[in-house]
Formats: sequence, C-alpha cells, structure tokens
Amino acid sequence: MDSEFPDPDEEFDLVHEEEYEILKEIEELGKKKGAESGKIENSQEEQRGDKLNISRSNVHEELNAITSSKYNESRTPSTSKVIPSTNNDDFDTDVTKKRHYDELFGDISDMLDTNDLADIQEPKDKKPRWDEPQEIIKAVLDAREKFNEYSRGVSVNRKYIKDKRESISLRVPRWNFVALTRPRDAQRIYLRVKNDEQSKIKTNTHSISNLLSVPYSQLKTEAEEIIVQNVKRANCETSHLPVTKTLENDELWVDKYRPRSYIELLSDESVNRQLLHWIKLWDKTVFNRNYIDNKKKKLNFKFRNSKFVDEKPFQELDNRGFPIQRIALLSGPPGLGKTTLAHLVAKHAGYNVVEINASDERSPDAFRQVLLASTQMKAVIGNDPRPNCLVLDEIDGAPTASIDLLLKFVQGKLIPKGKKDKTKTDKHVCHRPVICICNEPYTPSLRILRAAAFIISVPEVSATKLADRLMEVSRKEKLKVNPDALLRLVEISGCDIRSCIGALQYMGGVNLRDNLSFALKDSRKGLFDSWKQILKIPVNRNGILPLSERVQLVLKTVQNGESEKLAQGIFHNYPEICSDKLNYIALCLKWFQFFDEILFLVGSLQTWSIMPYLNYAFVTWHLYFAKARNIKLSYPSIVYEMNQKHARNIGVLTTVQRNSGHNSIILTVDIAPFLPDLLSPQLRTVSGHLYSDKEKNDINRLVNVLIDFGLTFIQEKNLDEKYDYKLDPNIFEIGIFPDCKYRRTPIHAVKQIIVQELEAERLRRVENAIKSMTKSAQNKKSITSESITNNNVTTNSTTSNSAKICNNATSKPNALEQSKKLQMETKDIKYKDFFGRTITVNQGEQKKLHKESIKSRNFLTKNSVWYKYKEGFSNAVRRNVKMKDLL
Amino acid sequence: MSLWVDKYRPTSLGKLDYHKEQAEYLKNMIQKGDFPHLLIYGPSGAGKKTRIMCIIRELYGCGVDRLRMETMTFETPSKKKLEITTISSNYHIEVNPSDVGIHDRVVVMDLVKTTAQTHQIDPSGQKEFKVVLLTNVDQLTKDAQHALRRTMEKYVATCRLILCANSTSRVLPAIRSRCLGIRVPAPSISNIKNILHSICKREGLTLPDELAKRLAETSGRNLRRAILMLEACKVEQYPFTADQNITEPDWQVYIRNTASLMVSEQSPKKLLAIRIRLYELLTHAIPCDLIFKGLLQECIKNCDLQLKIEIATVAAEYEHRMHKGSKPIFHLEAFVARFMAIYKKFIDSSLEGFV
Repeated sequence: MDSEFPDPDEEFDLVHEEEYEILKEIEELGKKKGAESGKIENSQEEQRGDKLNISRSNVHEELNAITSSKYNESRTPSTSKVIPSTNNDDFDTDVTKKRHYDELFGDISDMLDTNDLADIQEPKDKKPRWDEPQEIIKAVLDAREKFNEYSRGVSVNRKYIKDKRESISLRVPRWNFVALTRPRDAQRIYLRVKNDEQSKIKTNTHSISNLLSVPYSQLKTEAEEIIVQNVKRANCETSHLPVTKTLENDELWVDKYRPRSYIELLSDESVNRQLLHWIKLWDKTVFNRNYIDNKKKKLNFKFRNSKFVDEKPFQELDNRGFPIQRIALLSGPPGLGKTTLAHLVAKHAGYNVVEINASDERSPDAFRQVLLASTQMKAVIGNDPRPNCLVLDEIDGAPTASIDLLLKFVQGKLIPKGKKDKTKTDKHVCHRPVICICNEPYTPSLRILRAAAFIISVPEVSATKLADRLMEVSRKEKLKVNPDALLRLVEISGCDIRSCIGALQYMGGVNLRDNLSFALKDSRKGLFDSWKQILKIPVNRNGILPLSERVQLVLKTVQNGESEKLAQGIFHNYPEICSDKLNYIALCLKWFQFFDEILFLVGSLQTWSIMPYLNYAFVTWHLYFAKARNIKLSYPSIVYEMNQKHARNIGVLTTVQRNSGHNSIILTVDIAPFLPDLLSPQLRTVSGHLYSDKEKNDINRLVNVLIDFGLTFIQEKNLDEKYDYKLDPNIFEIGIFPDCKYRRTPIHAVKQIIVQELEAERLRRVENAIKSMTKSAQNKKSITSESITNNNVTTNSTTSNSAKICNNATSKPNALEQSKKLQMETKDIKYKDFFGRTITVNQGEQKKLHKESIKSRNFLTKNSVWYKYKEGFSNAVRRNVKMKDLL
Repeated sequence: MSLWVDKYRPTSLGKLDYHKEQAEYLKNMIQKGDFPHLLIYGPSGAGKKTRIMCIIRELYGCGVDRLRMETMTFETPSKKKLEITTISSNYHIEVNPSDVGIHDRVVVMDLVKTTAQTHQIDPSGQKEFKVVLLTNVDQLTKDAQHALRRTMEKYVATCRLILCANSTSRVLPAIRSRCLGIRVPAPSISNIKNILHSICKREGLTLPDELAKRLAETSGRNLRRAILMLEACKVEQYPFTADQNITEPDWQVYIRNTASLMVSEQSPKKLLAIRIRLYELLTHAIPCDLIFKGLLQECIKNCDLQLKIEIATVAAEYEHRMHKGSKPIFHLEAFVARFMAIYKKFIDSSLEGFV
C-alpha cells in the first residue's frame, strides 16, 4: 500500500480502512444475529447454533476474502475461528457457495482491481464523511443499536440487495455501467453502477452485503434446514447435553460475555475512538503505513470539494513519525472494561497484545526485560507474526522506579545495559504502542507518567446500556429477571460491569431484588467526599437526619484512616463555611489541639490504643461547622507549600550556620533581620577607583561580612531576561517579611562592584594565608611552638593548604584552574575561623605589612599571580599584556 | 569577623563589661581548680555564650582559640544517618543537639561518651578534663536529658559539661541539681548604652546619648540585637541623629501587625487572613514560642487587668499544649480564635454598659 502515487480511490480506501473494518464487523454480526434470530424459536439448540454461526461467518469471511485482501490487518480472531469437522452440512453449503462465487468472480477477479470494486460499490458523494467523528460515532451507534435489537430477538426490516449476478454482465446492460476489459481474452465486462438511493447506513451495509452470493431468503432457509437437522441430531444425542452444560457453567459469565469485537464494547464511543485513533497513529512506525498523511490527503480531498477548510491540521506525530505522546493512559474506576477496551482496540489495530499486570513482577529489572522483549522483538515462529502492543494493567501499583524506567524507555533515553554500540541508539526507542491502565490517575507514582502520556479517562457506562446488556446476558442464560431489578443492580454497583455480571451469575437472577446489598462495593470515598460528608448536614426526604444518625455517619466516614489528612482539610476549609460564632470556633480549635496532641503521642510512643479517640473530634467539628447549604471545598495545598518553603529556609539556615558558626535560632531571630540592611550600603554607581575612603570602607566591611557568612552573589537571569545578582544562600528570604518595611536594594552596577571586590578579597585572603605560612616557617626555625600560637593561630591550620597551593603554583601553570582551586581553598580556610578574631588580627597585620605594596598595585607580583580568563577568549588578536595591567 | 557583634566581643573574663562580680567569682572558681558542671542560663542576648567562651579560655589559655568546625555523623537505632555540626578546639567541643530534632538522644550519648572516654592528650594543658558545651539545652527532649544525667556522673573525671539554656524551666530537675547554675541576667539599659558608646569610640564614630538609649530600649535589653541595630543604623545613616530611624527585626513588626489585626476585627475571615500570616512566620523558622510571646504582648496592650489575666492564662495553656503536639499552627490559631472570642465578648459587654 505504499505505492508512490496512490490514486484518489486508493487513498479513500486507506483513509477509511478502520471504518471498513468496523462496518464489516457490524455486517458479520448482523448476519450472525440474523441467522440466530432465524432459529431463535429452537432455543434448546444453542450450542449447535453457535457452531453454525461460526461456520457461517467463516463462509462470509471467505467471501469477503478477496475484497478485504487489501487490508493488511487481519480481523478479530473470534470470527475466524473455524471448526471444520463439526458439521458436514455446513461444509456442504460452504462448497456450494464457493462454487457460486467462482462462477461469478473466478475469471475476473484477477483483473478486477479492488479499487475498481470499491469504485463501483461506493459512490463517493454519498458516503458519510468519515473524517467527522460525530457521524461515524452516530453510524457506529446506529449499528450497535441494530445489533442490540437483534440480540433482543427483534427482527428488523432490512433491505437485501439483489444478487451480484445482476451487477455484472458480459453484454451491454440496460442499467448504468462501467466497462472493463479482461486482459486475458480481451473480453468486455460491464459492471453495474449503483444508484444513490440508500441512506447512509444502508450504503455501508450494502457495500459488503453485496458480497452475499446467495440471497438472504435462500440463506435463511438453508440455515433453518440446518437447524432442523441439528435438532434431530441433538435429539439423538441428548446424553451429551448435560456434559456441555456443566462445562459451560464452569466459565465465568464475565469472561463468557466479554465483548469479542470493537462493536460490542459498552464503553462510550468517543473514548473508544480516541484510543483507536491514538493507536492508529503508530501505523507509520509499526506498519510503515501513513495514517496521518492519509488523513491529511483526505482533508485536501475535502478542500477540493470546497467543503470544509476550517478543520485544524493534525499535528500528532513528531518529525520521526512517532506519536507525540507515546503512551496512552486509560484511567477510570474498576469494572468499566478498560482492560477489555485496550485489548480489543489493540487487536483491532492489528497488534498482538502483551499484558503485564500487578500479578507479574514489576521491579525495574524485570520490567526492563519485559519491555525490551515485548517491544523490540516479534514472534518469528508461529502463524501470527503480528507486532506486539504492550498493555500495562494496574500500573498505579507499580513501583515508581519502574515507571521512571518505562518513561525513559519510551522517550528513548534508556541506555541499554551492557551494550557497547551506542551508535545505534535509535534502536532503543520504543517502536510499539504502550497502553497503561490505572484506576487512580493521581497516584503520586504516576505523576511523571501523567505529564507524558495521552490520558483517556473512561467514563461510566450509561445505566440503561448496561442494563440492556445484562438483560441480554440473562436472556441467553435463560434467567427470568425483572428489568427494574437489573437497573437497580446497575445503580447500586455504580455501573461496574464486572460486578453486575458477577452478581447476576451468582444470584442466578432468582431473587435479585432481595439480595441487592450483596453487589455493593466496599466503597472507599475520596477525600473530598469525606470532607463534604463531615462539613455538610445530611438531608433526606424528611429533612435533616436525627443527631444520632448524623454522628454515626460521621464516625463511619472517618473510620477508614487518613484522619490526619481529613483533619487537615477541615482545618483548611472551616473558616469559609462556619458561622460567625467565635465561641464555637475556639472550642473546635481546642479539639484540633487535642487531635494534634493525640497524634503526636501515638507517633512518638506508639500507643495506638488512644487512636480511636481521634474520631470524636470529627463529630464535634461536624456538629459545629456543618452547613446545610452546598459548600465549596478546596484542597489544603498550602500545607504542602509551607512545608516546602520551610524546608528550603532550613536548608539555607544550616548552610549559613555551617559557614558562620552561629546558632540557627540566633541567626533567624537576631542576625538575619539585620543582614539586608547591613549589606546594602549607599554606594554611588561609579567605578571602584572613584570611591571615597568611606565608601571603600563600606565595601570592605560588606565583603568581609559576606565572606564570614559564606555568602556570594550569583548571576541569574530574571524573568524579563535581565541578569541580576542573587544572594546564595539567600538568607534575605529568612530575614525579610512581606510588606513590613521598604528596603533599598543595591542596584545592579553596585552589585557588580561588590562581586568584583569579593573575588579580590578571596584572593587576598589566600595570599595572606601563604604569607603567614612562610612567616610561620621562619618562625618555626627561630622561635618555639608556643610563640606560634600567640603569633598567628590560623597559621598551622592553613599550612597544609598553602603548601598545596605552592605545589600547584609550580606544577600547574594553568591560571584558570588555579584560581578555581584557590577559591575552594579560601572556603576551607573560612570554615576555620570561628569568631573571626584570628583572621582579623591576622589581616590587620598583613595589611599593615603590605600597605605600600597594595598602593603600588603590584603586591601580588611578589608571589605567583593568578588571573582568570573570561569566557569567549580567543587568540585571534594577540597583544602583549603586562601583569600589572591585569591587576 | 567583621560584624561589630563579633569584632568587639570580649575574650577574657577580665574584659567583660557587666556583671563583673560574677565574672570575678567565675575566675576564682577556675583558679581554685574545683570546676563543677555548669548550667548557664539567661535570656538571649545577655552574653551567656561570650561568658562561656571566656571561661573556657580562662581554663585552657589561648589554645581554645584554634577552632575547627566539623560535621559528625551518627546513626540512630533505626539506621538513620544524622549529621551535626560541631565546633571544637583541642580542649573543648561545642554542639547543639537540638539541631537533629528528636534524635538528640543519640547525639548526646555518642558525643559525650566519645569525648569523655579519650583523655586529654596534651599533658601541658592545665586541666585534666575536657569541656563539652551543649547549647540550647532547654530544647532537648526528655529522653536526651535522661541520657545526659547518668553520663554526667559517670565521666566526671574526664569531662565537664557546660550547659547553656534560655530558661531552666524545661531542664530536668535531676540535671539542674547536678550542675552549678549560673544565671546571666540581661544587661541593663545603661550597660548597653555604655557598650554602644565604647564600640562607637573604637570605631571612631560619635553616638548621641539619646540614640544609644533608644537603641537599648528597642532591643529589649538584648545586647546582640542592640549592637546589630547600631551597625544597621550606621549603614543607614551617618552621622547619627538622635531621632534616627531604628531598624527593627522584620518578624517583630510582622507579629505586631498580626496582633493588631486580631484586635481590629473578630471574624472567621480575619482568622483566615491571620492564618496565612502565621504560616509565613512559621516558614521563616521563627520559633513558635516567640510567636506566642509576641502575639500575647501586643494583644494585651489594650485590655484591662482582668482580661489580661485571662488571656495570659489561655496563652500559657495553649503554648504548653503546643509543646506537647507537633503542629504549631493548630495551637497558634486556637489561641487567636480564643482571644478573639474573649475579646469580642469583652467589647460587646462594655458596649452594652455604655448604652
């Protein structure tokens, strides 16, 4: 199908492939049911009938085989399951039909291109527009309706189409025709061009039902014949029946009546289509077919027809042909048929389903193996060489590490273990669709997955639809059930298909009405529901519930644990809803205190026996806070935010504490509030050379304070793309409260100067350290160790460092590296001065010693000199630079 | 260090500016050689830590100035790794066990034992014992204090403990009785004024007497805060003027504003607004007892005596409960609500009487 220039008809076929399939299924089902309805009066023979159905559908399939040969995907296996040896009669009909068929098509099929057939069969302008989902949905729904009617045994008037014989002629016919030439013998063949009288659905059905080589009435009589024969046979072999019955009983109805094809799905059509569409997006990668391009062409098609231009262009594939969201995440409460949906859709799109669920091991290692095995390999042996589609069921229970792995894998970032060829990275990109299924999409472990996945939330099945299906099931099982009871069952189960059918099976439908409570789920309410339960006065038909019931209700609500979260939510929400009586609020808050104390006790002493008392706090809150009107609740996210902020501030505090040696409480209470003031002196925005002595002193002091507390300014980009210097660690955040006092912040230029000075001071300190080292070395020669301590305290501690530096200076001429090293060293030294006296004394001495040399601006030249290359240095322009210019 | 607080910190007992008599006693005690465990307590900013450092210096000489900062790691019985910063010299080790929260017991046990079990290396040192300095002892958990009690007796030969606390009320009586308690009262206003003047003199600045007085008063007799304020004032504006603006810590202003909100209107809506402010205070790591104290001090300003007593009782009770729990916000808000309820009742009744 990847011919380079597909003609419009071919395109059309491609575009509508999936619809064809659906329709074909509809058609087959319709026929199946038709046959079934024909023999419904003879209900004892259901098994036989089933066999018949199967073989019948087999017939149709073969009939369709030529037309459908253009579909690469095979159809659902349920229809293609053949039991050839069961029924000789069926076989006979088969043969006859085949002959029939051959008579008609045998000689021309080789040259009758499918396209031409399609051309004949489908007048284009009459086709429903498949690109408009509503219409397809409608069509599918119609078909489903029809199917349901069949299943209920209601016969529908259906127009059956004339025999094919009347559509092909060797002579020039009277009707509209298209002339074709058979290449073999140059024989002209005339094919009928159909009128456009049929309605949408009928057009569809007719396109395939055309293939019925035998008129419906004839088929029906044949079927009836077979049924009669079967009845006779069954009468002979009654002994077999009970055996099969018991066998049948072994199977769960849930499995027995599981939908076998796309059309039988109960879930919402739009959801089904969403998933189908997504999985079809993979066609390009998996089958090398261009699903999207076809869609696009189809759009152009429409454009040519000057109809709709306003539709959005599809942008669902990335440039490599993968869907942008490579994972689909189905979410929804249990029992809605999510797993069934995923399986069916995958099968429908031509995949072989590989399922991993909670029963398999899902540790990252096991997960990786399965992932690789299922997505990169393909069954070589076996007659079913279809690509795999991975279905990860119950993913919300998987460990976070596994989900991480999955995401990395899917995004192609997973580095293969123990594989050397990293050039072939593309090989490890996931080439197969992955469908995840979960009940609760907001599980914390799924958070990252949620961001990357295509999320489809499966809504609840409509109650009537489900009740219909249950009705059908019970009819098939020959149960007499009251439809009302079924509806009630559906209601109680919360539209849980699985539990409904399960209930139906085990109740036997006998006295369903009496035992309804049995289907009730052990429902776990969400937090919001629980909060609502507590903060709203429950009302029934007779008005407000009596107090005792209310208390019972609240106690029941809070029983399921999570009392801490519940209390948090109530605390968060109560000011919005409670009345103005401050007395009551004060009282309730006392209960919060009580709650906190108990919780702390339980937490610290593990005295779980006092835990139950917590629940009574909720009763108080209910009684005082609850309102009859509707309330709006919000999630207490502020707690989380505050915790985050608190943790961040504590982090800042500990870093500063480590650098400065001050107690953290002293830091927060006394020092941090003043630092913003102390660190923002009034400085003019002029070059550093032009500062007055006072300003120079200010800067000096500021730099020293910054170093003492281990603070630096870090250049960061603002929101509005401007560079700004930020303090790091930002202790200002602790000291400054919102709207307390206006503070001036030094402007950018001043900060720049400060940063420069900071760097210089750092270097200078290192310088001093080296100096003192040499001095102490001299001292060591002459004076005893006692005097060293008097003289210079930091000396010893820094000796080793400075020695290292000296080594560096000789061995590594790279200036940049050295300056970096030195900065690190300065930090080390900084740790050591605690009260600072040592360093300041030391500095004072050093400064005096070097005053002249500083003034002459070449004090550094006496030692080794470090300078920093700016980024962007190039040696394109060279000129001589003197050391003193750098200083 | 370049902050004035650190720069002009006295380094020996003789150089202390106030409580000179006490300093003299301490000096005598050290020279007698009979050095007990010490429990030094007093309000913050009174110079406890300075005094302790002076004591240690007096004990060991200048060697204690060679300080190192280290992080030690401990492992709790539940295999959790803890890190704690210690400041130590060859003769002493300083640690704040409350840094690790509820696991402080492990720190106390491990640290004190390891320190105590190693004897003094330097025989030339004057004393045969080391000093373990524990700060913020009043924030230790009961467990940790119990653990401390036995070690204090057991290792008395090789180590002395100096405990530093804000108040003895939360120190176990058993520990209190094992220590020589030394109270360091907050410096008086005139003390602070003198110190501020002397600092200015050494910095070569002139400080008006009124400003010094105002600084001392605003600082709440907290010397550290007073000096920091002085330095902030200097950065803000020099030469000084007598009516110059004095920077107060933001959190104090914030608490004051919160309290005035409480007084201005009593409704659940205000309660919500106040809650946000309380959260803000808590996230800034302001200790919750300070918040309680600040709120109470502001709230009772315009209450009559009867009401003052009632509110103070409530505050005391609620603060006590707060320490028994783990979520301060509940207790703070409970206090706010209770205050509102009481205050509203009071206002309403007084209005009735007026009508």
